[in-house]
Amino acid sequence: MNSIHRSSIFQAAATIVLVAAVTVAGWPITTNSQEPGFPECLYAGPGDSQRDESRSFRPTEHHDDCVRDVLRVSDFDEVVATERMFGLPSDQITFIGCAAAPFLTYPASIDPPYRVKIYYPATANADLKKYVAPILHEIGHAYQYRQAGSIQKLLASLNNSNERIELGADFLAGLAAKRLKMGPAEFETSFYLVGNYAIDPDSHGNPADRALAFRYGYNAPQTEQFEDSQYADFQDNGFAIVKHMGAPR
Amino acid sequence: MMKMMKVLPICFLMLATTTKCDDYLSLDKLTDCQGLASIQMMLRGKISTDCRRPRNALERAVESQFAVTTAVHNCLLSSPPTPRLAGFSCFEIMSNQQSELACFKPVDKSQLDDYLGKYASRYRDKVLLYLQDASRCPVGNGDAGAAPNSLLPAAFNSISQVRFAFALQVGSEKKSQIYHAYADTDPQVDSSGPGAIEVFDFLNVSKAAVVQPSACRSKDGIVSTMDDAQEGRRSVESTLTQKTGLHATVKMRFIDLTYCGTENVSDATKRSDLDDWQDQLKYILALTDYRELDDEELANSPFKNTDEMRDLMAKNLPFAQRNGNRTLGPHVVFLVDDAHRECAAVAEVMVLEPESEVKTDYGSIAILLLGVGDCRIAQRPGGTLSDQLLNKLTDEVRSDAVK
Repeated sequence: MNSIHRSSIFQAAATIVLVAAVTVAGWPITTNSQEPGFPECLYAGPGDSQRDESRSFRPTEHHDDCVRDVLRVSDFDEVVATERMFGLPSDQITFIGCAAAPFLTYPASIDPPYRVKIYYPATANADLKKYVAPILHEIGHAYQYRQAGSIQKLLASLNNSNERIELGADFLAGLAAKRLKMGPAEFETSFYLVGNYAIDPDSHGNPADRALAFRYGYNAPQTEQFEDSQYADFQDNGFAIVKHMGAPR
Repeated sequence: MMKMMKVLPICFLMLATTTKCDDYLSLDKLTDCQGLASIQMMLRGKISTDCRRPRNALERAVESQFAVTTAVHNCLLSSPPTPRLAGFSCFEIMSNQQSELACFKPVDKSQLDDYLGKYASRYRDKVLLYLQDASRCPVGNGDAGAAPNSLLPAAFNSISQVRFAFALQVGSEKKSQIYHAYADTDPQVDSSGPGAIEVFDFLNVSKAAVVQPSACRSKDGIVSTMDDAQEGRRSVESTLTQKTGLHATVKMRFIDLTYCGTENVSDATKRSDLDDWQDQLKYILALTDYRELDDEELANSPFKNTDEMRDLMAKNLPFAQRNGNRTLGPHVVFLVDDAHRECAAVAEVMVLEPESEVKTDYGSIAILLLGVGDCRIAQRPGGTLSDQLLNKLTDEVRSDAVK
C-alpha cells in the first residue's frame, strides 16, 4: 500500500470512527427488575404516606369505616365504559369506599370468575373528578387479575416484576382514557399516579416511566375494540421501550 | 463582643442551612407564558444575527456539533431571548423543516441528586403544580407532563445525559414542543463545572414528519426498512473532504430489522443472527477488490485491530448514548480497496444490537462505502463504491433475514 493510500485510508478510518459513532447515535430507535415484595393487592400509588397506608391497609380491619360504593363510583360513565372495554362484567367488580383506604384492588375470589374489590378513599369533601384516573388504573389491575387468574400467576407471567404490573395498569389506563376522550393531564397530574424516584421493591415506576406507559396506551393505534394483543404488545415491547426512554440515569 | 463572636458562626450556620433548605431546582420555564410566546414569535422569523463566540468548554462542545453539517444554521445568542433565561447559553438553530432555541445553564449536580432522592417530600407537589400551570399557557395545547430523555436536543447529546424532564406540547400535530430538563454533564467535556445543566428547548417544526406505518404487515418473520440517510451522507462527504483535502464519495445504508412473528426470540439468538449476516456481508465485500488490512498495515495504523476500532467508536459515542440500551455490535467489518492509484476506498459494516426485552426489535445493520480521490471508476457498476454493490449487500441481508 503506498503512502498516499495509507494516509487517505487511515484518515478515512479515523473519520469513520467519529462519524460512525455520531451516526449510530442518531440511528432511528424503534418507536413504534428488581425483586419485588409479594403484594397481596394492587394499588394506584404514589406518595410515601399514601403508599405506607396502602401497605398497612387491611380491608378486614376497616369494616366499620367502609361502605359499599358510598360515592357511587360504579355509576361513573367512565367506569361503565372502561369495564365494558376490557370485557369485565360489572357484577364481578365491587367498589368499596373507606375513610382510610387508598385506591386499591383486592382479589375477592381465587376461582373463576375472579371477582375483585376496588377500594377507594371516601371522604366528605372528595373531589370525584380526581377519582377517574386512579380508578382507570385499578380497573386495569382488575383486567390483569382476571387474565392471569391470581396475583401469583400474574407476577410469574411478568418475571416477578411488580413494576411490569403497575406500568401495565398505567398503559391500560391510557388506552381507556383515549377512548373516553380524556386529556393526558388528568392522569399525569394526578396525585395518586404521579410516581416516585425512590428505589422501592414495591415500585410503581418513576414519574417519567408512568407518564410514558400511560402515553404508550394513549397514543396506541385505535382499534374498534380492545384486544388482548394490545396488552401483550405492551409487555413484549412497550415496557422495555418505556424503561429505556424514561429512566433517570 | 465575645458573646457576639460566639453567636456569629451560629448565624452563618443557620443562614447556610436555610439557604440550602430553600435551594430548590427552578421549575419555572414552562410556566413563563409571555416569554414562551415571544420565543415562538422569534422562531417563526429569520435566524438572529446577534451572535457571539463560545466562551467555555460546554458552549464550544455544543457548537462543534453543528460544524459537521452544512444543512443547519446556528447562532449562539449574545443575550438571552427572555428575562427568565438570564444566565443561559442559548443557541438558535434553523434548518429547512424546523427552528429551535436550545439553551442550557450550569447547575450543581447535587441538586439533581436531591430532587430524585427527596422527590416525594420536597418536589412532588411543586411538580404537579408546575405541570398544571404549564398546561394553561396559551402557547401550548394543554398537554404538559413528564418527558422522555429522548427529547433532549441532539446537539446536547454530546455533553449531557438527562436525569429528568418535562415537556409542553405545542400545536395539534405533536411535533412542536417545549422541553425543560436537568442533565448530568460529561466530565470529560467540562471537568471544572458543577456537573450538571438545566436545559430549556423550544422546538418549532413547520413540517410535520411523515408518520411511518408499522413495518409489520403480517404476523410472520422479519421485515426490513432501509434508510440511505442522504443528509448524513452529505455531512460525511464534506467532513471527509475537509480532512483529506480530496474529493470524497460516500454511500450509506441503514437496514432496520423488525421481528413480526409471535414466537419469543432471545436476545442471544438475535445477536448471533446479526453476527452471521455481518460475516456474510464481509464475504461478499471480499469477493470484490476489498481486502482486509494485514498485520503490518494495522501496526502502522491508529488501531491494532478492528475490535479496537469498534471500541474507539463506542467511546466516541455522544455522552447521552454511551450507556444506551442499543449498543454497537462486538465487531466491525473494515476493508480497504487500494487497487487504484487515484482512489482509496473503505467499506465498513456495523451492527447495532437490538434493544433488550423489545420483542419486535431485531437490531440494525449499517453499511458504509467511502472513497477519497478520483473514484469514478469505483462507482461504475460492479465497482467497490457502486450502487450495485450496495444493493447486492442489501439483498443478501434481506434474503437471509427477511423470510
